[in-house]
This record gives sequence, structure tokens and C-alpha cells, in this order.
Amino acid sequence: MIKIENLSKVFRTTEVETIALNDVSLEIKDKEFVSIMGPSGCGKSTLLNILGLLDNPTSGYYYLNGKEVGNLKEKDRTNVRKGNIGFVFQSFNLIDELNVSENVELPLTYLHIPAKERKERVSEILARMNISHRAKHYPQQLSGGQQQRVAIARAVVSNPELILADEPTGNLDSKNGKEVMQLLSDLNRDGTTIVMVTHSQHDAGYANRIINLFDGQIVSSIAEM
Amino acid sequence: MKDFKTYFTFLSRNKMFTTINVAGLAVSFMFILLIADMVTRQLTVDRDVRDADRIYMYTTGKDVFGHYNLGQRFQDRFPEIEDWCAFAKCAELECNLEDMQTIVAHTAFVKDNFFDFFGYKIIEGDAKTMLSADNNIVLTRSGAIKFFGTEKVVGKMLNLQFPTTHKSGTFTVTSVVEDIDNSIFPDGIEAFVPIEQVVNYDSSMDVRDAIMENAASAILFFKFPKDYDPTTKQDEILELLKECFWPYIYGVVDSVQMINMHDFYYSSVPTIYASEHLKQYDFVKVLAFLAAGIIILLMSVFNYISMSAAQTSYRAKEMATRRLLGSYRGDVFWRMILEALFLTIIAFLIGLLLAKVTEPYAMDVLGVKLNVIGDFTWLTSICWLVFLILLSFFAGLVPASILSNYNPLDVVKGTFRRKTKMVYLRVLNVVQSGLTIALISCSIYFGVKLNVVLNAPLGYEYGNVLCYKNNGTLEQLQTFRSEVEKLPYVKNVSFTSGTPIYGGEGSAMAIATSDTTVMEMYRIFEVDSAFFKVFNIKILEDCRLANLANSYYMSESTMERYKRFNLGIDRFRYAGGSVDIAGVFNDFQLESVLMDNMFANILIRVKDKDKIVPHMILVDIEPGDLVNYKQKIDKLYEDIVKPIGFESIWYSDMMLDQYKGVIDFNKILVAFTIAALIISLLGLIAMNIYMISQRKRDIAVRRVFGATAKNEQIRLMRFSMQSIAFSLVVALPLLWIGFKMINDLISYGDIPTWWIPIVAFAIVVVVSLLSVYLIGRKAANENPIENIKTE
Repeated sequence: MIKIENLSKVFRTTEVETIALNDVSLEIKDKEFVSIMGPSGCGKSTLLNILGLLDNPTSGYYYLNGKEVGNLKEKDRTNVRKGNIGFVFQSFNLIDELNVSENVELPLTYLHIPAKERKERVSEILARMNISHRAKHYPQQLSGGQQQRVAIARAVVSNPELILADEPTGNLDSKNGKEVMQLLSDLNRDGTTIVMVTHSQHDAGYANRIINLFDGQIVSSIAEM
Repeated sequence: MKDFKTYFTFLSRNKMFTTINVAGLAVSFMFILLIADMVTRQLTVDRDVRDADRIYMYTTGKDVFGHYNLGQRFQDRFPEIEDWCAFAKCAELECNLEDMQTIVAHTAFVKDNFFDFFGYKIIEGDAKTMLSADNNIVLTRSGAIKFFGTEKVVGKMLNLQFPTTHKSGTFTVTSVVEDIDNSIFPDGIEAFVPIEQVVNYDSSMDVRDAIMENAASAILFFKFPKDYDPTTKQDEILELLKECFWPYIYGVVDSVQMINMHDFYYSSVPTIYASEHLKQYDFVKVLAFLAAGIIILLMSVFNYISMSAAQTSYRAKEMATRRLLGSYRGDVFWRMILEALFLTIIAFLIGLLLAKVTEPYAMDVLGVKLNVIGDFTWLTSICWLVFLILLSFFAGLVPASILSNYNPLDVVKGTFRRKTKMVYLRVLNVVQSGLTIALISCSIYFGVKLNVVLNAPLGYEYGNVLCYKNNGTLEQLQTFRSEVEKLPYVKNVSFTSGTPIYGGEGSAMAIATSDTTVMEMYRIFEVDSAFFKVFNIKILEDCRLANLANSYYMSESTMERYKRFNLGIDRFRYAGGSVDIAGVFNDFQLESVLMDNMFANILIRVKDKDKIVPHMILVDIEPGDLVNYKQKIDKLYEDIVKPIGFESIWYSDMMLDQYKGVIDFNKILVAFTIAALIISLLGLIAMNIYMISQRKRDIAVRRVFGATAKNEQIRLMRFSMQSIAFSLVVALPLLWIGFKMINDLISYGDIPTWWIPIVAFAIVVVVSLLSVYLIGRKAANENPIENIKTE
């Protein structure tokens, strides 16, 4: 599903040049659950952003479902991303002015799905995430765990084939973290490819494979049994 | 100052914010300073006149009439009058200096007790005796410097010539007085001579005329005891006037209104037909300027609040960290207020400079004298300082409240959130947009009304008519005419006493019908036959009389009124005589359509072109190089007539001068509207910058989940549209009040108004959406991860 070859990302300012990713090559298969680990500043999030088509690499190739997408323009990146890739962030990134239903509905509105169908799909996903009773609540009225469940619901409501999660349990206690990881695991079991950045060895254990990054390079890629 | 290092660093790093904020506030201060000076002056006219609250002017209630000889009769009948004074005229006399140079002297003819009566400041001399002899002259400070180059001029001699009668006289300077400023009396008076001298300027204004034939040859002022109300005596005054003053005897005028000197400035009683036009102002205008000043002030404060609040997110971390390190909430609050004061004072000083630079233009359009810096006193300086402190407090209050309320715990936890409530900003934005819509609507409405007035049919035409006042002898003028007529581009030359703008000579005539005698007021023109061609006034009926000099042409409406007397239509019969009616010409508008003509009856006597002594020479010119033609004709006039300081003027300019008040008001309104639009736009930019800075993360999240930049821009614009739609609630009542005020100023012309708010709304919508589009474009196109990352 994902193939990257000799991918590099360099951030430049007037005085400093930082190599976030250095000649990284990697392949992720369909329906795989991959964890990316490594110390702070090793390039985990940068890699995730490039995989999620939120950023372009400085050099190298990125093939998504066999199509080179590494150097697409912003508009084309949006079109590829829309409906195909879901995101889960550490800080949830829910929109405070929208309630739970509306937050989850958001990706569907950009796919121009009719209102009736949107409603049905949102209800269905909220039920699946076990937060239907909070549908009309606003993010600030929810606990961290509930907010992350809403964020996951928003990520999967458009049935993407790939979910990218950036430290999804980073802001949660262990109980809620476990619930979230279980949800991601269930999604993967149902056929969704998941790439997750984490600092937690425990969370990484849910994945099929753990990739370790250090100073912008892959130092190991270990398949879990 | 070191304590404010972070603020200065912030300002220098945010040059756009600093420039917009300071520039917006400075422009607002410029307007406010000019308006404040104007309003203060308007509300303090003649405040330095001694006992002004006890000084009353005699008026008819419709105009200021009067004759010098009435003064003593009033005092004889009403002994409670403590003193009285008369002002006849301010005229341009010619002053011959020692070096043989001749310059114009703006000279007022006043009763000898003028300075004692009004108490104007005297630099040197005795108020009681300074005008006691006929050859005494009093100079103002600027007059003394103009004529002699010094203020020490008492005892010096001055030779004055009266251009209208070609008489002259030598006067001795008895006193020097301060320039009369901010008064109902005309600006720029340089010399005062006794009222007895006015006969040398205009023989009809003779103060010794016992019949008081020129019934409007002096303006009379009476000083009454304290707490005395002379308006209660108006009936008795009326009785007196019916005994001795012919306009009352003949029933031309039948009312009296005593008006206090302070009230006269804003009264609706004009001085159109008086010997001198005293300064008056429209109180509605003062209120309008005051309202505009307050609106601009409010908008600039809103703007400042929006801009400062928009920037709070960029300084929130600093303030939260300060609190973390031990600063109290109050410290942070007052720090913000002091920062606001600093910026406000900088903007005020720039505004003061701008006001001084634009002062001449403002004086021109406002039609009043201004001296923004010169009018500063200790008291006004303290008032301004208090005003600035208050303004800074209110302007800094919102950002100070936001910033001082940040929780230092958020910094420790790393959960620091930049989001603040936007409700108050939206309210400010709604109010600001509403004010702008109202001002634009008023500006459009006024402009349209003005256009209707300027293009109103007058009943005559004036193409390229050049006007020359009579500055020479009849022989010189006739030579000038014969020379001008030879020029190929000159169509017609007319000698005339009376033009549609200035009207003819006002004359009251008794018409004896079979039942009664009626007094009618007529405007009588004396013209040559070219007059009709110059103005394209059509003679509708012409009796083709041989002796036109002893006959009158009548306007259509004059004839219609005359017919009602059933005295026949062959001769114009009035008490004491009759003349032939030579024909009827089409009605034409006297003065301007804004004036309510008292003398609607127009008679024209056509005289032989060589026998008429004109007040004015009209030269009708073919279209072409008008500037060049004017220069050549002016040169001819100068060479032949040899006038002093003459100036020819286009009739079209004289016509525009009739509308100067409303044209200037329109200019001011447009200036205010542009200022409001700019300030509003700045506020809108601030609001949008703020709104977008607050929503960057939301925009980024939406972008991550598939929204395009276009989707986001449309969403931002829709949000802005909601505010503008709400602003109509503010705009509609305001523009209703504005339209009503405009109708009070220009009653002429009835035009539909429904479309004006729509156009104003559309302008604000376009400007707002454009602003949102341009500001929002950057945020909507930013890489979303940048904004998610910064959270």
C-alpha cells in the first residue's frame, strides 16, 4: 500500500538546516498495523505527515497504492487525502464550536455526501465508538478518552483505507489509552491499515511491526509475533 | 523604559500592526481635533463680548432690518435700554500708504461706542473716545501691521478712498484693538470708522436721513438690564415702529423679534437684506459635525480594541509567563493600560500634526476659522490629557482583561491555549459596520440631493458669462464695452444693475386697488437689451414700446399677481404714479433654489445701453479657450478702467458660491465617510486577523479532513457576512436620523431613498469580503500541519 524510497526531508531557516528524515526507505502493506518509535526529534511526526500527504518530502519517492504522490500540489494532495486517509492526533484537534456529531460529520461534508447518508454514517460510527449518548455534547464537555474516541470516529467515518495516528494515547490515562488502542486494533482487524507514532512500548505492542527511527533514519523494523 | 522592552520589541516585530494601529488612531485624532476646535469655536462665538447675554438685536423675525435713527427712538420709548449700538457695513476701502502704494482696507462703519458697548480688547486707546470724531479710525492689530508694519500707530494718519463714490478722507488713528475673532461680525476687519462716514460709501445709508428710506442700512444692538426680557416688549416695539418706520407703516413688515446676541448666531433669521451679512451658522451642522466626531472617535476606539485584542494571542505567552514568575494579575493589567496610553499619546501627537497640516483645507470646507494649536489653553490641554488617559483606559481594557486572565498553570502544563472569546469583537464589528453603512448612505443621499440642486432649472441659462463689478467711471466702462465687443469670441456684453443671483434692487410699492392699498415688494432690475440674450431669458409678450426707459417688463408670475389687482395690464399702476408695461418675460429663479425668495415680484426696466450706469458688466463668451479669453478681457479691463485689486468672476462660479455651504458640507461628509470607511476597514482587518489567528487550528483540522482552501475562504466570508447583516440593525436608525438632518439642510428636491442603504450595504459587503478574502487567503493556504503543530 505504501512504499517510500530514499525519502528525505530537510527544514531550512536562514541560519539552520535540520535534516528531519535522511534517505528513508520503507514499505507498508495493506491492512498492516505499524508503530513508529524513536526519541523526540527523530523524525517520527515528519514521516507521518508526509505519509498523510500533509507535507511533501524534500527528495525521494512516495508511492501510495502504486501511485507516486510525493510531489503533488496542495490541491491534489487534498483530493488524494480526502476520504482515503484518516488522522488521529495526540491533542485530539476537535473543533470546539462543533458538537460531537458535527465534528464526526466534518470529513463527509467535504466528500459531498448527502445529508441523510451523513447522518446515518455518523450515528453508526458513534454507536460503534460507544459515544452515541454524547452526540450533542461539545468537546470541552467530554473527558480526554471520550474526545479521542470522537477523534477516531471522525478519522474512520469516511471509511479510509489508511489511518495515521500521532501518539493517540499521549494525553490519556492508562484506562482510556487502553480503550483507544483497542479501538484502533479493532479497526485494523476490520481491514484498515494503521500507522501509529508512539513513545509507548506498550501501545506499540498492538502493532504488527515496530519501526525505530533515530536521527531521521530507520534503525530497525521488527515484526511482532 | 527597560520595563517596556518586550512591548517595543513586539511593536517593532509587528510593524504592520503598529502602523495600522497608530495610523488609524492618528487619522481619527486629526478629525477629532479639527472637529473639537470647530465645535468649541461655534459654541463659544462672542463669549468674550461683555454682557452678551444682555445684548439683543432688533430683527423683523424674517430678516435683520434697521436704520441708525431707530436706535435713539427705541431708547427714548424704552428708557430701560442701557445703551445701544449700530453696525452698518464692512466695506473694502482703498488705503493710500505713504509710499504711494494703494491697498485694500477692510473697514467697518460702526457707532462711536462700539468698543465700549461690546468690550472687545483694546491694545491702546480709550473705548469711550476712540471714534468720537468723524475722522477717527481704529485699527485692529493685523490692520496696524498691514498698513504701518507696527502696532504703535496711534496718532498716525491714514487716507481712505471710497471706491463707490470716488470720495476720500484722511483719518487719524486713535486706537489699536485686538483682531475680532470668533464673532458674528465679519472676519478680517482691519479698521473701524464712525458710522457717519458710511454715506461716503453708499449715499442711501446716510444716518442723518430722517425718513430712514434705506430701511436696512444698519444693524441695531440694544443692551438691557440684567434679568430683563425684551421679548416681552415686542408688541410695544411693534407699535412704536408702526408710528415711525415706513416698512411697518405701509405694512410691508408687521413683526418684531428681539434676538439675543448669542442666539442670533444659530437663529433662522438671516441678514440677507441687511446692510451687512453677519456670520451665522447652522446648529444642525454643528450637531452633525459633533456626531461625526463622536462616531469617528468610537470607531477609532473600536479599532484600537480590535487591533489590540487581535494581537493578544501573540503576547499571551509573555503575560502568562510573567504571572508564572511572580507578577500579579493587576500588574499585567496596568502594564497593558500603560502600553495603550503610550500608543495613544504617540497617535495623538501625529494626529495633532496632521490636523495642523490639514487646517487650511478644513477651514475652507467648514467655512469657519480654526486654530487647532493656537486654541490650546491650560484648561483644554488638561481636558485632552484626561481624555487621552480615559481613552487609553477603555481602549486597553479589553486586551488587558484578556491577557491578565491567562493562567500561569497552562504554561507549566504546556496546555496553554490561545483561544479567547470573540463575542465582544463581533459586537464591535457589527457596530462599526453599521456606522459605516449609515455614513455612506448619508454621503450618497447628500451627494444626490446636491446634484439635484445644482442641476435644478432656474428659468435662465448662463454659459460662459464673465462678470465685472463697476470699478470705474461710466466713460471708462463704455470704452471697455466697445473694445470687448470687437473681440471675435465675445457674443454679448451687458450693462446691468441686478443679476438673477444677486437680485435687483428691493423696493416696496403701494398698489391702490379699488378696495384697499396693498404694499408689494418688487425686485427691480435696470438692464440693457443684451441682458436677455446673455441669460437667454425669453420675452413671452412684447408690446414693442418706443420708450422702454419708462416702462417695466414683468415676469410671468409678477404679471399674474398684478392681474389680481384689476388695474389693467397696459400700465403698472402704483401709489404716486404709473409706467407702461413693456411685456412679459419667463419667470426665473432669484439667488438659488435653496433660498426662499421674499421678493418674488420681478420688474425689469430696459434702458439705452449708453445711459445705464451698471453695477455689473456681463461679458458673454463663446466656448473655447476660456482661460485665455478671460486673461485677455481682464487685461483690457485693467488697462481701460484701472481698478485696484479687481477680480473678474465667472457667473458659474458665483452660482457655485451660492451653494458653497452645501458643497462644502458635502466635501466634509465625503471626507468623514472615507475616514469612516478606512477606520472601519482597519477595524475589519483587525477583526479578521484576530478571527483567523483564532481559527488557524480549526482551519488546519478541516484541511486535514479534506476541506480545500476555497472551502475555508468561503466559510470565513460567510462568517463575516453574518456580522454585516446584523450591522443593518445599527445602520438603519442612524441613517434615518441622518436623512432627516440632510432634509433639514436641503429641503429642495424629493428623491427616492430606498436604494441608498442597499448601495451602502453593498459597498461595505464588497470591502469586507475583499478584506476577508485577502487576509483569509494566506491562512487557508497555509500548510495545515504548521498550525496543528503550534497548538
